[in-house]
Amino acid sequence: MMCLPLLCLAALRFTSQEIPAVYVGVVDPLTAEAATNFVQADLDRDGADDLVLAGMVLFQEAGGFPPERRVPLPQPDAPADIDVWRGALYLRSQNSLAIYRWTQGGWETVVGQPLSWPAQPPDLSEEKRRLQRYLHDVDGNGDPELIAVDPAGIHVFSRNQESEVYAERAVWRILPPLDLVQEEQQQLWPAPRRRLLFPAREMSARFFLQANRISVLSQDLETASSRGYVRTDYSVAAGQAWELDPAASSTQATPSMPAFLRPCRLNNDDVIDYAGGVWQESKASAYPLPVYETWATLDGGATFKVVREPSFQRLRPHCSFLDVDGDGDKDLVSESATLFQGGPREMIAQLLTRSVLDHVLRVYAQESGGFSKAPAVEGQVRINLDAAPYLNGPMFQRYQLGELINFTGDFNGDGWKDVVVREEPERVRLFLSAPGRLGGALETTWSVPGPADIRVYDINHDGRGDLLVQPKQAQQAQTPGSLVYFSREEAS
Amino acid sequence: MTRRIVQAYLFEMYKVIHYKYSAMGPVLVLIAVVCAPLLYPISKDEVSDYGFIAYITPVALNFLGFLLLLIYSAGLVSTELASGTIRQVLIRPVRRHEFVLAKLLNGMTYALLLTLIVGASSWLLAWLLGELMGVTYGGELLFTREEMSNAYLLGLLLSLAPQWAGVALALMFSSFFRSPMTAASGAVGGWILIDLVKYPLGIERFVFSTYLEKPWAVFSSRSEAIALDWFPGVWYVLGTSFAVMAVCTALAIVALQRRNLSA
Amino acid sequence: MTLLPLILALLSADAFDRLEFPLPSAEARFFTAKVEPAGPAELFVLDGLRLTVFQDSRPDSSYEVNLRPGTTAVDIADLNGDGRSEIVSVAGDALVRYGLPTPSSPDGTDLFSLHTQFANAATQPFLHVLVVPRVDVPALALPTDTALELRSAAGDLLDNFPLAATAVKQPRYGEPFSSRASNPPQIGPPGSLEMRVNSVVANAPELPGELQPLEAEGVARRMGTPRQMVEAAAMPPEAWPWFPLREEALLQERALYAAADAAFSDLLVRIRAPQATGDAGAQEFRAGPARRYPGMLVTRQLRQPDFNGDSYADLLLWSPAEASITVNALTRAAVSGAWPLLLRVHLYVPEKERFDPRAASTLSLQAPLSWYLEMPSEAPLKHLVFADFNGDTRTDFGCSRTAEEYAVWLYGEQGFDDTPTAKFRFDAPLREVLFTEDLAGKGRTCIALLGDARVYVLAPNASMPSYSPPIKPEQLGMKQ
Repeated sequence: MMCLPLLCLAALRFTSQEIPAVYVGVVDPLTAEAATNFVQADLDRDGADDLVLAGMVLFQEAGGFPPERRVPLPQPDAPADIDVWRGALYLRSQNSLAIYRWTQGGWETVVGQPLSWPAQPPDLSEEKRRLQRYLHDVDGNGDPELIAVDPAGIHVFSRNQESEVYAERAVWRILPPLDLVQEEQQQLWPAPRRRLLFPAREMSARFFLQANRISVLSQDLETASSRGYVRTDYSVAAGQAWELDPAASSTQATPSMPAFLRPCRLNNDDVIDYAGGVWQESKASAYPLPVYETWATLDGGATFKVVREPSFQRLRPHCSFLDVDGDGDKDLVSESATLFQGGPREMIAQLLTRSVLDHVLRVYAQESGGFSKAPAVEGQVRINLDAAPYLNGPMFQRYQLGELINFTGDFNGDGWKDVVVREEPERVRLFLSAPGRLGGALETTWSVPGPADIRVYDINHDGRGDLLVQPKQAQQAQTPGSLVYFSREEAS
Repeated sequence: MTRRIVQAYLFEMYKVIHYKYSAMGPVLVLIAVVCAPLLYPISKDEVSDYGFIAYITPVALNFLGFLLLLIYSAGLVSTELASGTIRQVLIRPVRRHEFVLAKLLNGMTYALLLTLIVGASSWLLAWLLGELMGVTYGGELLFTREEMSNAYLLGLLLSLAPQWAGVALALMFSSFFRSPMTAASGAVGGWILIDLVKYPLGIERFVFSTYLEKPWAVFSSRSEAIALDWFPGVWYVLGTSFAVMAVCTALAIVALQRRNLSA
Repeated sequence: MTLLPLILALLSADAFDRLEFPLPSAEARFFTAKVEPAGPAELFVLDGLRLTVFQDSRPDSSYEVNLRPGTTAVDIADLNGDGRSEIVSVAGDALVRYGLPTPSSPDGTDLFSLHTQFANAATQPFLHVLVVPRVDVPALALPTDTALELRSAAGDLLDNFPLAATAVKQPRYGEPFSSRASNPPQIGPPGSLEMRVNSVVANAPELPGELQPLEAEGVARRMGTPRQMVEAAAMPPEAWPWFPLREEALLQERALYAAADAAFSDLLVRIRAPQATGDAGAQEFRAGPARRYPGMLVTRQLRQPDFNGDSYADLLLWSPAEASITVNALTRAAVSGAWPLLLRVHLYVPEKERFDPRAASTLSLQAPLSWYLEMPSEAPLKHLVFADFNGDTRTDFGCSRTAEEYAVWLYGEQGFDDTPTAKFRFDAPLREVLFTEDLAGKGRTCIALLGDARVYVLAPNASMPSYSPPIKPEQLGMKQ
């Protein structure tokens, strides 16, 4: 009986609002992040994050984004990249830098200065603005430095404390050299198919700045089936010289790893992790059964955790690495269907006659530097495909693309990721998770238009996931806005 | 009552042993297993061949074997009804419901025999032609040989439950119809019909045949280095199977008790 | 060897020789080239610095050439104009020649030295066309940092084509230089600034006509993703995916196609052909009415098969044979995991400007059930090859119906026979078709298949059934 009041207290309430031009993309299975066309920042310093789009700001008020608080961004003279730092809006174009603050209902220009930028922004839209991060406080003085990259290297611009003008301080030439591109195998015979190919040279790398340290990650030992990675760390020399301290650099190389593994961050240690998935074909069945293998290494390629699950070939897992239990470390999530658990004859019968599919989620929790041997949490959701999988109907195709399930949002703020499932083309359900159970408790049901996409994102950044019912081509101006269901805790 | 059932069962076994066609089913499933390497080649190549066992066991036992089991069980009562020998059997101190229970035990023994034959022959073939080591993946031993054999043994025991449910189903049809052919058609047709409609009607969870191959799922998954839990699948297997056994056996008893044997 | 492969090997027709070549490593590259001007082509295996040459593409006759350490670009071509090919390679700054079959020196012969872009290339040798034809003798085309230089075998500079700023070659995808922030960071900790940087430098020289083209021609068809195929049906014909009807009229006569429904059960086809307008000599293109055919295209390759050899592309459509659940189908599916499908050939009828609605030939196959679910619009067959295996100018067909099997059907005067002309069973799943080439130069295409640890070449031999080539309309004096 104690549960009832607790349930009442924890009950959720949803308020809906149509928000124009906001777009949330599909979730990256590896990072659990969705691409967005906005950044969240508190521009009006009211404690709630606003939505900064390339053309306007949607100020947050009472957990929503009222139409009267939608404000256009300052219009730059030339194409500009936008970044935000502690409530200030930075617009930098090829030849200038402007910093704005929102004060008393208008944009106040804090800084406006000429600044020659080494990298030309690409051809931008009519709005001439693009959201792009380039601010980082390297020296820890509270003022961000501007980081730009061009073929010569990484350029650093900092503000002179006296003149308060930004100027270029250094170019860090630490990007790897160009390598000859391994083109596809050229044909040497017969003579008419010989082609003179002028070789291209290529460089591909990532870097990240953390305080006064910069790490560069590049590929090494690349073959068709395997590759290794090299990470080099540098420190910025003390004394505001802005040069990299050669004595403080270190290099780590991974062993050769399967090519389908990608670098990522699965926990908060200093080691870059690698994870990915690959399809294999099982033979312990009456016929070749597709098996999806999820791989992860938390120690730079020394040891691997591999989880195998039977699944539909070409099924795109919704999300393979996600902090399900809210402990800060990403857990490994495997996805399958009960269809594969009943034996070959039963599977065939289901493929041919069953229009309902039970999707199974298993979570291997990250703990003590590894993943649990057995699933720590499991869940199961049901999807009505409208037609048997054999018929490859529209719902099955959407299922194959990983569009019908989303478990990246925590709707009730308890730290556990909840499960949203598009149970039917026009019906979406939310199942709340709890310790030891992924999904399971039906919380609410929404009716949605059939063609719309369903996304989960914490739009108002209140720590609770929100549901977006997003029309196709939501990024285009003439398209109606997304309908957002904001989750709130019931006051009672 | 138990003694009378045991005696009736022993009499059934005596008849089975002396009936020349009784061995047909076991021989057929044995042939199916022996021919399996043609469909699923195995060799001594340092790679475990549990996949072979996981492949042939459901095919031989839960498809061919189950079909044979239904046909066999459908003839248990109806042949006696058709030939009239039931009247002689019931003259002895055996009641009608005891007679049905003895027949049920007969069918269950037949299912056990088929299961043992498939299990023993598939393991023997895998041992002779292939390899039976632990399951390793990524350089890690995931399941030892003992774990694999235990999973199979448990699956084997569990697989008896839906098979026995099939025996009870066929026995029910056998009590309904005087013609063995009609009873067999009813049992086999009923099985196929239920399998065709159970998913569209959404009743699959309550149908025992849904779980015919379920007992092998853990062994089969492990042979591919995939971990699968026994539960809650075990409860569904046992629950639906014993429910069907109880209902069908009761209906068979009722049908036989209401039947006018002198007609 | 287990019994089944043995039986299947015995049952395989002798129409093909099955040649097996060991795969020395996963990175090894197989390719073909011709050393002697006459006779069959050779099969080469480049595995690191070791180049193995299988003479006449036979596995029982081979020799090896060990390339010099540091070798990058490798070409097999006739450099000295004697008609025989040799190995020409770049090792550091050295241009090295290896005579075939026996190099004069195990380390090859140094031709000359030049710093090229290949000097800093990858550690593994790769195939690259270095030798280009000239009016008198072939030349070496060598990319330096500033130009493409043509040099003789002695190193004399024959021509120099500076890298033109106006001829910046666009990378295959993306931009020449790009840096984008990852937000939120993917490998850096939360709060860090993370960026991805990609740079491609690909300046191209402006070359004279005889050295063109630099690369293969552009794609001459619109492939159409499955989704586009479905959406196309409701759109104007200009938006439909298409393939050329005739090779010699790539951009003019087209077959436009779309899926009739989201279940990919039927294909809609329109023919776009030139129509004369009122103006003298002027033409305009009109798309004909949409006609419905049962099934989906088996292949969406550039070259559609021409089964009757009339130079017009034909339709090969597939559909599942039985949508109903029969005991037979279920038994088969449960035991073998296979489900039947039908392939239908619809020949193009030029005079009616449409594909014949009646199938000229129907082929019944079985494919693994799991392959059906991979892509709804794609045929559940793998390693498809459409080529002329018997030299009768008709397109024949080969594919895998299971992971470890390959079968070939010849298209004869009566169409396809249900029984494959040849069928091969392999010990391990096939991975891909490496190449299809007429190695013997007799108009008969060989298929090279990559297995787990071997490469299999299926070479048509003298026992290959031959059909009389079709009589083309122009041979009868008919006007098309």
